Amino acid sequence: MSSRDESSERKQQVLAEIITRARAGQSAAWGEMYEEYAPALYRFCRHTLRNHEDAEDATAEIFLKLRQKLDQYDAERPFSPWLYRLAANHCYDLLRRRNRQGPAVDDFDTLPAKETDPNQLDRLVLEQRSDRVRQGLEGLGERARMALMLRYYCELSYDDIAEALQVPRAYVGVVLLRARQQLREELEKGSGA
Amino acid sequence: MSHYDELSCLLFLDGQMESEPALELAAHVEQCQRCHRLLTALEREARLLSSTLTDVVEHPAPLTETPRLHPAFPLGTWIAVFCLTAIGGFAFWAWVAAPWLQMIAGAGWNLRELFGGALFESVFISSWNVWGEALRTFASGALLAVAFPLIWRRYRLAPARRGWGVAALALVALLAPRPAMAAELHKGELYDLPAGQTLNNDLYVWAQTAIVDGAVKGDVVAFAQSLTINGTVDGDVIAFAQTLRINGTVTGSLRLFTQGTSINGTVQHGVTAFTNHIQIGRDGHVARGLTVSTAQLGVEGTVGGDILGLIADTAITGKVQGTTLIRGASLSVAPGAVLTGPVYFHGKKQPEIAAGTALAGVHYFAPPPYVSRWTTRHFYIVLMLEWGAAFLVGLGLLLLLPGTVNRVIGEAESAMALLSGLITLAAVPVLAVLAGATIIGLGVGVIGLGFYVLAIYLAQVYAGLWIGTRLLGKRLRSPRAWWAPLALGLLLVQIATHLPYLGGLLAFLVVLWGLGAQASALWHSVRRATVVAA
Repeated sequence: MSSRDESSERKQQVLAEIITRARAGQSAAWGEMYEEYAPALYRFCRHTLRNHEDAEDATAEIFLKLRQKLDQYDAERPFSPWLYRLAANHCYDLLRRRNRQGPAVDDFDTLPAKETDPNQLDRLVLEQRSDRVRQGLEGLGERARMALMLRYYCELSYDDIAEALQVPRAYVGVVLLRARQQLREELEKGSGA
Repeated sequence: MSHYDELSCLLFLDGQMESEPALELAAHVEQCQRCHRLLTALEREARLLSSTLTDVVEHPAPLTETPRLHPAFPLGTWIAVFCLTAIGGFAFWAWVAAPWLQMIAGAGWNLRELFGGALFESVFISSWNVWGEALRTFASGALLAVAFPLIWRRYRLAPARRGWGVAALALVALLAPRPAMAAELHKGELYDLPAGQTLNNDLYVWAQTAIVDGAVKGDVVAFAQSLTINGTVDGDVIAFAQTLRINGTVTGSLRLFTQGTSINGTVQHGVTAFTNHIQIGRDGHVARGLTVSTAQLGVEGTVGGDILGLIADTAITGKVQGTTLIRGASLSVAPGAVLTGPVYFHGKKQPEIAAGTALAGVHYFAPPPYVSRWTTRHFYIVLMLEWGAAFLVGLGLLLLLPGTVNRVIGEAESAMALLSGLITLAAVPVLAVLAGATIIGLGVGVIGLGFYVLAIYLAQVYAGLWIGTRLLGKRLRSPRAWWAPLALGLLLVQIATHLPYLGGLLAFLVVLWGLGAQASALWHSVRRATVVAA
């Protein structure tokens, strides 16, 4: 077993122990969990909700939900995806409340007919810096942004993304691809192309 | 050569392709430069996304500085905090509040009387102690109901300790002083206190028909379809009844919420009534004033003090020994009536005063002819002043508390704000009065009411801001850029709330909305603080 695997296993054991103590109601365990996950969750909320104050509130509310729902967590399964699903559901609800009609819903069946030119895509990607991409992400629709967050930040599986976004599993790829294409359009707009 | 599309390449990279087509794609890519480049570009794009999203954006202060959830403070800390607070409170009372109150009292104001006594002792009911105790008990119960789940959740008592906790609470409940319930309670279809019997206590009665033929040495509080007092009540009568008849004697005051009231006996103090019609019969005698809101008032007997009222139709054939001040539709004074004090009547019709009436003087005030406010210059000046004041307050808020403003505006997005506004509007005064039932809570109640009034004023500012940001751009990034939405939104709110007919309703909705948004924001902040500090 490699040292990386060992360290990951050790981390899992520590986390399992923290969860057990948190379930038993130990405040210190909640503190450790908060320390471990709050910054990452905040970042998730910050990107999804696009607002510092809302993200702060949402992070705290997600922890409140976590306290209520931790008993429902199946310890046999990885914790992070479960937590991010909880966070995604919470942010999704917030966005739905913010826009009365709910986050914009894509039409899954159609993808832009435009064929991607690999050279152009490569050039576009190589030209970009993080701040430009972040700006581009701000211009995306809510679900597109959340899909990208769940895949490339939370590293969730397609199954988890389908559950979090409430879309059929078969459409997750389409949602992700559509989000990336929208992002490219934003980036092209930004670079005046 | 045909090429793979972008979706297939993405599914391949994400490991979402079945093994056979995945092998085919891998084999194809080795020979096809175009698909190979597409795959590489997509992979690079995924890496760019991952690195961008995991980049630190900004850390909120509470997360970086106080990420740890502290365990509960040790008991000693709580005791120290309590002692310091008590010392601080005493010092504040002794050196600041007491001299201040003394100065106000010297100027002729008695604050305690103003906030407590005047409300309950002299105006409403003389047996204040019973009500005070009841309010105190209710307030303590409500506090306990709120505190218990919080304590329970906070400490998550182990089962063994829970038993001790419940036992301790039971002990406290047993030892707590109980309000002396100096009252006789009756509930049933019919209540009758026979003639010749004396009840040496306050009487609380819930009945369809209640008759007091005997004597009550205390107050009577009745909820009845019909209440008749033929005997004597040596105290006040507070009645919620369809019909009330006073044929006997009440040595105190009458406080009435009734459909119809007739007084043919004697009331040795005043009468305050919200009723459909009230008749003071030929033998009826009210020793002091009559304050009423009613559709019809008939005075055949005697009123020893003033008549003050909102009364649609008033007919006086008896005696009124004080001032008569009435706002209503009609006033008629029959021959033989004696009105010792002046009569002031505000109404559409001239009062009908019969010849031969003994009058000190009649002053009639016709309502001014209707002039639309929108046609007067004064109205626009007031509108602009109100707008300007609200704008300045809004700017101050944006400069001093941009985060709070942002949160409140966020809460205003939800329709739930209206509901929470309604609850807040109704609940805060009740809670303030409950808090004021104890001497310690009096200050809290008054301060709470102060914030309540402020929040009601700020409601228009938040509503204006929300409307302005909606019209001029949703969620502007910097609060400094909010002055234009604030100005526009406030102007629209001012105009809408001053519209004829609809203005009142719109103003009410603005208050509900803004108040609700503030309440929700406060609630969420408290919840957040609870999570961070729990």
